[in-house]
Amino acid sequence: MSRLRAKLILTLVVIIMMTGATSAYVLLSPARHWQEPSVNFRIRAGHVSITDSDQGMTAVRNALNSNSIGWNSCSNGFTVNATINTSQSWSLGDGIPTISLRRQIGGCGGSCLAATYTGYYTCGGGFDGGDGHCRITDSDVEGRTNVTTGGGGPYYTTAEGSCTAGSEYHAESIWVHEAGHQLGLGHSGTSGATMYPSVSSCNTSLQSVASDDCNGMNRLYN
Amino acid sequence: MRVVRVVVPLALMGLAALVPAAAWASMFEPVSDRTLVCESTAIIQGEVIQVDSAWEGSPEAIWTRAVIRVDRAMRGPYQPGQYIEVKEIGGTVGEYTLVAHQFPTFEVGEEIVTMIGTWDDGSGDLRVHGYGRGMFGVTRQHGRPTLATRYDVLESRRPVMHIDRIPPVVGLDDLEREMRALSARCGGRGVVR
Repeated sequence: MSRLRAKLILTLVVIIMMTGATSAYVLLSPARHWQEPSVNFRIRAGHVSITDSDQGMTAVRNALNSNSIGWNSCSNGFTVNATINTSQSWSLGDGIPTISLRRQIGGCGGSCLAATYTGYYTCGGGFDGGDGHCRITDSDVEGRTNVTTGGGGPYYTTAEGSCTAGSEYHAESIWVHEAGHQLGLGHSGTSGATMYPSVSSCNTSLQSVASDDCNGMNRLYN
Repeated sequence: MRVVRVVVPLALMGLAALVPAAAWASMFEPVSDRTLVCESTAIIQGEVIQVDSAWEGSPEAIWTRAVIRVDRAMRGPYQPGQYIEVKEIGGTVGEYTLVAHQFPTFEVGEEIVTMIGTWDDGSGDLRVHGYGRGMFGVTRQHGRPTLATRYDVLESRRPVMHIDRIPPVVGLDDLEREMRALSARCGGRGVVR
């Protein structure tokens, strides 16, 4: 009897642990998303640590616009469109979602690789569009100060062709992940999802959204 | 015996599933708790007394200033009874809220344990060191141990950094012990030895 009980308890523990390991997407709290079913990102600046043709701007734009691996691959009627506009100002609260691979406001220093800032009005009172979710009115991203760190990092792109382990991080993956925050997603508990909170140096996998990421997008926009 | 043969491997598989093969953070570089502690100028336990948010700076952003009463000093120059002000990006002004993802936020009356650093803009303004990893919310429940919860697990409900030595939810006494132990192993300011 005691052996059976022990088996049951341990099996339950394993099930709970496995369930925890596969828990799904998380929406930001309070839940919030854009009003329109498309978001037009402006990429304002690249980063000097990226040695491709334009300091990573084209690489990040292509990753964001990809219909095969990026957010558009979710095929849920919601579209992301990123364009490069180096004359675009980086301004919080201006309603233009702007991406900078380098420092703008200085919030991302030390160990920070990228920081996302999202603005919204208090839910309700005409701001929630009737579904109880807040409406995002602006969201901007900044990277680090425009200098290199050890090994040439902190960023590199696939076009660079090489990555220094331990000191360089895949720019496309970072900014596809940050775009997920800009669209209203929090960190997922699903290992392998773009919105999973962890990625290793030189890991390029986060640029490809997973079904869990798309499930979160469907929840927000369908 | 058979139970052990079947269940223990299953349990180990479950544990393995919780630990990703690659375990660094997406927004932050992998920095150990020891490094965070050593880089911080102070670690305090205290209560948030006042919170004010306003648009300021260039480019303009909503910044929040929080006044914290120091109740216990675990590292650095502060003494119990002192008040310090920390500044973070994000907050609410009127009906508009700016969220800086995974940055610490404050509420009047909340009890926290936080690492302290300075902004790198030359202003000397204090900030939470280590973003959401550097701050813990303290929860007191009658008849139960007092717990401290790392701020960055509140959203994802799992550790962001799997190299963390300090668990995401830890007894307050254990947290202080860990902080003091890690601090004792630092060299000069910001030096990990």
